[in-house]
Amino acid sequence: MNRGEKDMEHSGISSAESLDSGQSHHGNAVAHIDHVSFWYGSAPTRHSTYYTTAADDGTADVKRTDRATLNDISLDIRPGTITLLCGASGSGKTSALQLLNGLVPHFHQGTITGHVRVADLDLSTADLSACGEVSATVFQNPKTQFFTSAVRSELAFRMENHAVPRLQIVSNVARAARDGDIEELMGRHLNELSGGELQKVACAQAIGADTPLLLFDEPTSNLSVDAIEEFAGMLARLKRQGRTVVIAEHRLYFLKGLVDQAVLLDSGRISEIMDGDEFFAQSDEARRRRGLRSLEEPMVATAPVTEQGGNGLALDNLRFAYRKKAVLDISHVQFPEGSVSALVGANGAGKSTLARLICGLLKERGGSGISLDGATVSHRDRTRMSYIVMQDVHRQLFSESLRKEVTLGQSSAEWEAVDVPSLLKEFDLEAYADRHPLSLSGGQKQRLVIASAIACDKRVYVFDEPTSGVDYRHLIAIAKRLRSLARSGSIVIVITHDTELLRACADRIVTLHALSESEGGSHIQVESVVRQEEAEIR
Amino acid sequence: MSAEATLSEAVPPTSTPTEAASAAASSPAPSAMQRASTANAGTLQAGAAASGLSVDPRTSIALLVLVNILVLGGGPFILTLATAAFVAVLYLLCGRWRGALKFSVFILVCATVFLVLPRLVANPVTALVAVAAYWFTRFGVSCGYAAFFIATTGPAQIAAALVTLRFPRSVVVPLIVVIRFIPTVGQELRAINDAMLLRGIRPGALGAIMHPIRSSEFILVPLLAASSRIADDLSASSMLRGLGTHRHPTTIEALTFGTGDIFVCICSLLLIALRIFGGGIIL
Repeated sequence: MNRGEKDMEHSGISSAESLDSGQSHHGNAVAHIDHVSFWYGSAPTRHSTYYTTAADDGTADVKRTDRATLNDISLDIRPGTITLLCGASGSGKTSALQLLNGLVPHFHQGTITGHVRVADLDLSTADLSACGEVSATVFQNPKTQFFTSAVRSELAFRMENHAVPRLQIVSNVARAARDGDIEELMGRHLNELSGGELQKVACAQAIGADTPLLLFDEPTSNLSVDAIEEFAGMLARLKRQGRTVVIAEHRLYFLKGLVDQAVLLDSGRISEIMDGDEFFAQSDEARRRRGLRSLEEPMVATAPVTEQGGNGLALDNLRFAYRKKAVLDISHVQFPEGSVSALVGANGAGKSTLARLICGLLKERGGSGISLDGATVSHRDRTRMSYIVMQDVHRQLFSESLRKEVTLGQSSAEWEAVDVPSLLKEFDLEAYADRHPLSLSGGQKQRLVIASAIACDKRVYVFDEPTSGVDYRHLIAIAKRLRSLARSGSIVIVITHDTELLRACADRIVTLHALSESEGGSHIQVESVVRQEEAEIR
Repeated sequence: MSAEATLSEAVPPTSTPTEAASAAASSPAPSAMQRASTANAGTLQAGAAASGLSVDPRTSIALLVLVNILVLGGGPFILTLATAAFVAVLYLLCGRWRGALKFSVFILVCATVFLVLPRLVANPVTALVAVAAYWFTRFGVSCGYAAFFIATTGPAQIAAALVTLRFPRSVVVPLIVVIRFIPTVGQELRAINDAMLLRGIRPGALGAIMHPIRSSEFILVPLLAASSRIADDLSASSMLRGLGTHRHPTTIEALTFGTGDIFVCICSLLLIALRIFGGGIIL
C-alpha cells in the first residue's frame, strides 16, 4: 500500500526527494558503489551459461574464480545526471550495472566485497524485489524482458505484484503511457509490436515506476537507426525532468551531449572516468585504442548501382504472401557473388521473409524466378546451398564437441573430405576442438557456426544482425570475416540495422520498404556503397 | 466525440468504474485518447467481449472443471450430448462460427457412429469402432471446451481470475510462468527447425521416426540452451519487478459477473440436474 502512495506522486518530486535523503549520507549521490569486487560462481548451481564473461580469445581457459569480474569498483551516481558505462565485451559494464539493480549478487551469485547503496538502501541486505523498488531496469533484449502479453498489463505488472489497488493501477498506467509517449500502443499485444516499439514499452514501464534510479542495459542493440534517434530523444526528456540515469552501451554516438560522466571499464576495473564532453571530444584514434564504437553518427555514402551481370543470385518477379497478405513483390534484384550485400529496412518490411525465401525455408509463389549463376534453383536446392547465421547462435549448435559440430549432418564420405583441423585453425578455434560448443564465448560460437557452414560447402550466407550487442573489436572482426567469405566467391547477405557494420563491410545496400506503404513505386531499392578512404577493414 | 471526451475528462479517474473512461480522463489529446480507449475496451474484455456474450474468466474456469466432471464421469451418454450442445451454443454466442461448425460436426459424427453403427452391422469390429467413437465423443466435448476456453480467455484474464479467487501465489506464479513460456518455446522450436534444415539434419516427423534419439538430442540441446538463457532474462526482469513478493497481488483486469455468467450458471445447473436425476434415461 505504501508503495502505491509513492506511485501517485509525480516523477520529478521523487527524484528530488532522493536527492535530499542521499545528501545526508554520502554527499549528494543517488547511488554509491564503494570498493566493490565481485567473482562469479561461488554457487555454481545458480550460474547461467549465458553470462559467461570470459574474454573472447585466449583467456577463456583461465579459471574464472581467479579473475574478478569486477575489481575494486568505486563510483558515485549524482542526481539528475546520465552516467555512461562503456568498454569492450567482458569488461564488466553489464555486471557493474547489475550491481546497481541488485542482480549482482542476488541473482547472479558469487563472492562480493564492498558496499552498494542506492537511495539509502543497502543492497547487500535487501532482497531482489526491494532492490527493484529503488531502481528500474530496461534490458537489452526487448523480447525477453516482458512478462505479460499485452502493453497494458505489462505496464501494470510491477504494481500488481506490489498489491497496489486496481483503480490506482489504472490511473498510474494511463500516466505511464502518457509519459512514455506510447498511448497509441495501449490496446496492442506485445507480439504485434516492432523492436523499437517494444523498447518504448520497456522504457515507459521503467520510467513509470518512479524509482530514484533508471538503468539501461545495452538498450539500443536491437534498434534501428530511427528507433535509436527516438530513444535519444527520450533520454534527453528524462534528463530535462531531472531523472538519474545509468546506461551501459556499446553504441555511443547517440549519447553525445547527453552524458555527464563516462566510465570506462577494462577487464573488471574502472580504467578512466571522464567528463561527458571530454569523452566525446577524444580523437577517433584514441577511441579506437580504447576499443570503443564510433562517437559520431556513422554515415554511408551511396551511389546508384550500375547493374553488372556476372554470377550471383538473381530474383525475378519474386512474389510471396502469408495467406492473403502480400509481403514481397520484387521485380528484379541481384546479389552478386564476391560481394557483401546489406539488406536493410524497417521492421515488418519483409527482410526475414526474403532471407527465408533465399534459403529455401519458404517456397516462392508460382511465376517467381530465383536463379543462381543463370540457372533456376528450387527451394530444395537453395536449402542445400545456403545458410543463415542467426542472431541467437545457440539455436544452431547441436553437438557435444566442436569437432563433431563441424561435420554434423554429413555423410561419412563427405566429412572425410573436410579437413576439420585446418578449418578450425582458420577460425582460430583449434585449441577448443574437444570442448562443448556452448562453453565458448559469444564470438567463438558465431565463428563455429560459420566454420560448420563452410564445411557443408554453402554458397549463400545470410547473416541476421551479427553485430547486435558487440563491441568495436568484434565488429571489425565480424566485418573482416564477411569480407573474406565474399572474397572466396560466396554470396554474402547481411541483415542489419548497424550502420557501423555497413560502413565497414558492405558493397551494396538493398533497402526493403513495406509493401503497403510504397504503393506505385518499387518497394526494393539497390545502391552501391562508396568506400571511405580510411577503409578500416581491408 | 469531443463532447463525450470533455465529459469524461471532468470525472476524476478514481471515481470512474471502467478503465476506458479513466484512461480517457487522463489523456490530453481527444483523438488519440478515443482511439486508445476504444482499443483498450477491445483487449480488456478480450475474446468473449469481441462479439456478444461476455463470460467472466472465473466462470469459465469453474465451467472447465464442471465440463470435465460431467463428460468424463460416469453419467449417461445423453448428458455428454447435452453438454456438447451447451458448448456449441457457447461457441455460437461468441460468434465463433468456424469453431462451432468444427466442434458440432466432430461430435455429431462420433455420436452417430456410436449410436447407429452397432445396430446396422453387429460384429466385433463395429463394436470396437463404436467403443472408440463413444470415447472420442466424450473427450471431444472436453477438448472442445478447452479449445474454446483458451481461445476466449487470455493469459492476463486467467491470472486475474486466479488472483481474484485468492489462489496462493505458489499456484498462480508457476502457472503464469508456464503460460508465458509456451509461445517462446514455440518460436525457438521453429528457429531450431530452420537451423536443422539448413544443416541437412532432417527435422520433423520423418526424421524423428528414422533417428528418434538423434533427433530429440538435436532439438533438445539448442532448445535447452536457448530456453535457459531466456528464462534467466525473464526471471531477472520479473523478480526485479516484484513477482511473487506480495502474498495477494492485485490485478488491473476488471472482473465482473454479467448476463453471460447467469446464462452459463443456469445451463450448468440444468446439466448437473440431468447428471443427478437422469439415471433412468436409457442412452
